[in-house]
Amino acid sequence: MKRTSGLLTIGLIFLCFCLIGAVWAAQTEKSGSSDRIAKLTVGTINQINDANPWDYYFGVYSMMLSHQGLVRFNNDGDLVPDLATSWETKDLQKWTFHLREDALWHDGKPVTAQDFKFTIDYDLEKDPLSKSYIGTIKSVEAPDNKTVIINLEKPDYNFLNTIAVVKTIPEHIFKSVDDPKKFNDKEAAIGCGPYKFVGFDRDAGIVTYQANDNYWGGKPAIDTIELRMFKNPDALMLAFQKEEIDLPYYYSKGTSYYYVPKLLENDDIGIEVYPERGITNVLWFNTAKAPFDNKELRQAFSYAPNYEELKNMFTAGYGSAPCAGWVPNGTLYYTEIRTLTQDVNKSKSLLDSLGFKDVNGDGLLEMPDKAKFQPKLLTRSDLPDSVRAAEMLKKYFANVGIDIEIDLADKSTHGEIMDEKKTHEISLAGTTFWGMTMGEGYGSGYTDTRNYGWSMVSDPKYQSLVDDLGMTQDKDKRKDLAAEIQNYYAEEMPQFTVYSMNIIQPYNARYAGWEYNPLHGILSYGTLFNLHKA
Amino acid sequence: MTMMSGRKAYFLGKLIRYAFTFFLILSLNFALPRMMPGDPIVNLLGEEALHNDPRMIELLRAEHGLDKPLHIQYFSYLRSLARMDLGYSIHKNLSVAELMANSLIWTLLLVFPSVLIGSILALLCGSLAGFKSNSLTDFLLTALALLFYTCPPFLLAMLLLSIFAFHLGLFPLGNLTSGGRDGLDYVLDVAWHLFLPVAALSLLGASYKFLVVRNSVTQIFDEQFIVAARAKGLTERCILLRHVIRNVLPPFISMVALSFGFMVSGALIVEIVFSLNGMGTLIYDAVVARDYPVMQGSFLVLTMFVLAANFAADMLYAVADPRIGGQR
Amino acid sequence: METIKDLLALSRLRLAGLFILSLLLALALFAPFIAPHDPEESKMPYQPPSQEHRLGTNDIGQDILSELIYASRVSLTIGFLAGLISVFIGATLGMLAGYYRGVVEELVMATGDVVLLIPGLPLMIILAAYLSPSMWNIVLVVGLLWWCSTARVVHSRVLQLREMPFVEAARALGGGDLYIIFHHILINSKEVIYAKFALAVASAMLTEASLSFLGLGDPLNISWGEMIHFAFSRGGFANDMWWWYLPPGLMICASVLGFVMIAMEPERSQKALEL
Repeated sequence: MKRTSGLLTIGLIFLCFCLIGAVWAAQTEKSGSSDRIAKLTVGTINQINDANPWDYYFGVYSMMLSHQGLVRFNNDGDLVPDLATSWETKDLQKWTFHLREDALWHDGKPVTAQDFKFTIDYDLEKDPLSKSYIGTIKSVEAPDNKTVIINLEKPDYNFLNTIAVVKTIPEHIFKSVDDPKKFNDKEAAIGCGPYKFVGFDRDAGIVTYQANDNYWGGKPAIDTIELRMFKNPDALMLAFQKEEIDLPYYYSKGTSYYYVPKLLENDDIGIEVYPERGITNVLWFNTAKAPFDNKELRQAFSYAPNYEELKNMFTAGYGSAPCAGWVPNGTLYYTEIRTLTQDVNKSKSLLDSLGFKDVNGDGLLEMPDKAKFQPKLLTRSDLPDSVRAAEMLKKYFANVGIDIEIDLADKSTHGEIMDEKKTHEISLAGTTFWGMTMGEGYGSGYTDTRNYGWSMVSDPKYQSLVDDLGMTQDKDKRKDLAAEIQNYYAEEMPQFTVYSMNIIQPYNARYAGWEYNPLHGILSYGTLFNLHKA
Repeated sequence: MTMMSGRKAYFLGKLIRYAFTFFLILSLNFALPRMMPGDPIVNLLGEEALHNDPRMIELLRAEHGLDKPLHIQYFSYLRSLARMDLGYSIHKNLSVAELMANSLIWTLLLVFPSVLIGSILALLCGSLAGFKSNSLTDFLLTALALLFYTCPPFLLAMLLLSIFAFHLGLFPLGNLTSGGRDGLDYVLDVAWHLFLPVAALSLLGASYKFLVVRNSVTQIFDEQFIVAARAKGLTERCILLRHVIRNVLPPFISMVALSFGFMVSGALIVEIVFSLNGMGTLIYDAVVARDYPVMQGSFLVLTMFVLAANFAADMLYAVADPRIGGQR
Repeated sequence: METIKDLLALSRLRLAGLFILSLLLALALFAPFIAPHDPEESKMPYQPPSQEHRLGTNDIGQDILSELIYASRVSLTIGFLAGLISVFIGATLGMLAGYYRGVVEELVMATGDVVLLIPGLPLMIILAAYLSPSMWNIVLVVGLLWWCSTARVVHSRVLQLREMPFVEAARALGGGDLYIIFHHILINSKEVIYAKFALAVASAMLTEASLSFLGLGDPLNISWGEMIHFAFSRGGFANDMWWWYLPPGLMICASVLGFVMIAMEPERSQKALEL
């Protein structure tokens, strides 16, 4: 008896301790009296490992808050001035940028053209990865403090897209830094953007930014931005429902639709749906591998899935009908071609005419040479949505007589196969907004073998379209080229859209002035300056 | 005299075995991450890569020492271990030692209280249940223990999170602290955050030990010396305290020492559910990203931990049970 | 000749355990007759329990109850096979080590130590990732890593047995080593091996559930662990769909309980040895 009561007392004392701690912790901050927002708490499952701009996600948030490039994307996806007020080019090969006079680093020093030249040279020297997007730069000159001249290896219309993601770093800090990736000093995060990096509390998983009073564009509307990292998406959404965070944020993604019903119960939570400028899930064919080098076979595959059912099941009504031109609606010069629809008979007759017949009566088609036909569908095993989608696709293909083997690979292996080895037959993977602008835009980065080339297209007809896009400045000609490329996709089908879901972005409805940017999502430049109490 | 050298021989034998094991594990540690498919360099490329420039990939590979032949990599691995240099994380661009130091502290902070609380709970309840075997107390306690033993750890953790953190709002939804506090404030805040994870781990750990203790106690009760003690007229409580527990203690202590070793990796699931920065999540992230140095370093540390725990268990068992070391 | 009857005679606990397990076995064997729907058929997703779907539907519209019943096949198979492999390896090695002693013993025990000391779950995560998600890989991984404790326990038992008079007698009569091992020693180690087998299966099922939860399971062969994985990662937890994630969890509990009850030691100490 004594023992149990002893245990009980210890337990009670411990419990008391914790409850005291709870009360301590539950003290809320006093909110500001004016319309200004004192603190915006953003929750994310993106993990930041260190406050170093070369850390992937820290770099992403730096781009949004504390650092700037020459140009940036506006809410329509067009390129507008950032550090550069204007620019010109005659031949798409030599680009001249004029920088603004009043940009200052967070430590007070002025931002000069030499800083930008240093940034490019430094990146190319210290980071082999950077060659993949700024490798086209032959040289950078800074004839005076406010002029930057960039010379490219060859004419590239799309160059602005590329240079938009280059963050300018201060020469006076980094010129003495030998290894930038290991430079975890507080000075490493100095930029010239509307927010200053204040601190990184690793144990709490919190990154703090403060408004920059000396920002050339004026003081932003939010005094402090706090980034809270979660490892568990459910915990993140629970915290949002309890109003511990103002915004769930996923870089280049939206919130999954199955969180929506719970969120709708809370009046203080608003939900906006924005068009997705990438594609959530695409079926890629390796057009360099037989039999997928045959366009009619690819078309036959494209008629098998039940797109309506996929849309209902994977986008819950927040999606768009997939189009044969592949490039999503909202892209500049989007052309309306036809919508992808299920047509089992057409699929079957195409397969039949190609010589795929059921020779042994098992209900499955064999190759024209009587060999077994069992294409492997490479799927990301760590994305449950993809796994489920692959299951559904397997059913649809079985319906037209094709037996698919689902080949699961985790992120690492999947990436290795798609990017390096190219041994896939068909594969399921999504694209992002910025990805679609790679290469010369219109998803050419994903398609052309000279770039990422997931569908391994080396067709000269396609490649010449891409090259023309790179060289043409005339708007009407570009419109025609864009239409041609989309028609190419609809006819040749190197890949097709399986389903695409719009971006669901929940937010704290007690604040208004949210603006959405296709690259930075809701933490856009506009939001930073327009957010206020509703 | 013979007992002493017998004991020494016992310890020496154990030491040799542990040393051999350690070296084998070192080598295994090196080989395993490299046998896996998937390239750490590919993980670094991400979406930013426009071209598949093989030269760039080779450059990166060289930067991290992955281009040299295997046996050279092995020797440089051994050499750097001797220097206590655990290398640099390919993925996170921090030194492995730094990454681990931080994670290890939090894991230990999570694991030590859990094992302690769980063990004490198991010892007390197990003895009670064994003592009063076949009674209602025994039945209830055993049923509860079985429930926690059979419950998948992630389910228990998620349920605790859902019920106590979300629905009842008594505890935070994750992470180690709420940030920006110091002193006593900080300590209490961390305790508040760790309450549910520690509770989950304690209950899970206690369940198995409970069953073992209960079994041992019931067995001991049948033994002759208990009958003799009763005949001497000692009270039941006295018997429990003096004779039974003392006999249960040796295997129990070694079990506790062992569980320290296993808990560190077993806490992985709890760490993920509660968003804690421990060794578990570190290893998991490293495996997903094929970050060889981190994988190697963490395995090494975990293994040393388990080895030390085992060694301690063997020592304690020998100390507690005078019969060990005498016979062959 | 030992039979089930002798096992049953020992303990009510074991009886209860066997009862649970036979129910589960029946569920697995007769799944096509018991399940109300085809588990692969997709209808309306995320439906709460109703007349037609007693446990509702999952994220791709499949009937959860049917999925639960069919999943018993996968979970039980994985657990059973993994347990079998680990016990087979462990018992064999343990017996050889205990009987032959010397070098064999040192080798087996040292190898056992090494394997035992490798942090289990992290290693399984690595291997599961290495071997790609597949039911058989999980069986292999769990089976290959769990043999050590069986080996240790069997080894101790054999050490006890080998000095016993009846073994001496058998040797004197001219019985060869292997014969003695498999006929006499094995039979008298049965208790210990059965108990370890049951525990191995229980551990294997829990491990498989954990691996599935981490996303390393086989999504093409849905086990109870995989059901919970999809429930958590496709919004089941966020929407309080307890009918989706609790039933598989309870089934795991029940199975593990069944196996553990079989392995539990009776109140009485050793049985009399037999010849």
